[in-house]
Amino acid sequence: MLGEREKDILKRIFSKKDIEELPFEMSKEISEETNIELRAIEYFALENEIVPLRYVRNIGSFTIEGQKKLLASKVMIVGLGGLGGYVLEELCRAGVGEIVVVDYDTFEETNLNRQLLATENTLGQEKADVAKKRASEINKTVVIKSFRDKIENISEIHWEGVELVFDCLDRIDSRLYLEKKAEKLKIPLVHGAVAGWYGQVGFFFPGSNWLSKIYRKHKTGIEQILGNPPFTPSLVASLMTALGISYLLGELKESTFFFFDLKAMEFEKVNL
Amino acid sequence: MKVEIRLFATFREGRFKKEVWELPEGTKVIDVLNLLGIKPEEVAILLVNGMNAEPEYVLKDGDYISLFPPVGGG
Repeated sequence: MLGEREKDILKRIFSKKDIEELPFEMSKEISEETNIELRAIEYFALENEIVPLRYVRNIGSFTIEGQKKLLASKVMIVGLGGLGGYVLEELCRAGVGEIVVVDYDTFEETNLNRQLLATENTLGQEKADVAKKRASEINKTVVIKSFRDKIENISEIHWEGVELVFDCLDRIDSRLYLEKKAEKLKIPLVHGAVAGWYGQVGFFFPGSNWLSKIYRKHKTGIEQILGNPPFTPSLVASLMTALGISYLLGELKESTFFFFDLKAMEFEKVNL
Repeated sequence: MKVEIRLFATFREGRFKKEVWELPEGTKVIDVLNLLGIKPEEVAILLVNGMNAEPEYVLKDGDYISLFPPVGGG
């Protein structure tokens, strides 16, 4: 992330500042002065045990080393509806350095009950554009690439460097495409799906092919009957984010899948 | 033999959450589905003892079956 020249410049600048935490205003000033990207500045700071203020409350749950890992990570979120909006929100706040977001759709009124990025003001707007704007309002350090397209149309080059992909889709055929793609690229997949008071979450290392097992007979699920209330997507998205971050931090080593029922308040883990 | 049946989500409607059934030797999962009135194509996840299984699986004493409908929204 940092060349020797940049390191020297930052070393000089930081040596003059006696700080333990790095305010964003200072990162911005340094970036404007040196033309070094914000992400590299924060990375350098963390390397020197100076925590950017925005991540101070992450530390304790993540180590400084872990925070650095997140900043150097690149992930993709496919689908920016009920699940994707919350996943993006949490990844940006966590400080995941680079996020590719993909959705071909626009916001409509029926999204308002549950989709974080759907507001009265964003109706009719492209989900990918709204997501990019939201991300930059939360954390300008995060590099966002947004695509208004179907996942099937995203060319190989945009997958480059992606370490982990979040399946926030609502179409089963696209979910199956995504699983195949992740398998081909040998990257893990974080899966989430919702229907009514029910949800499921999974983290799959390559070779699991779990989605092609559970979705082989279905084009749609029980969400067609049960709808999607506001609380299930946000919960599933948080579980997905926790799994994804745990992987990026090097802590998650095994595929996992569980199903839950928010009416009965039951969680059922499946042995993969 | 005794087999425990665990139903999830919409499969519980008009049925039950968990029951132990006395079944004859040689009973397959598909037979249990028929008794429950659940078509195999309605089931997304079929587990025996927490592991993925097929409807043709021949049950053993002490097995437990878990059935889940498809969930696909996002």
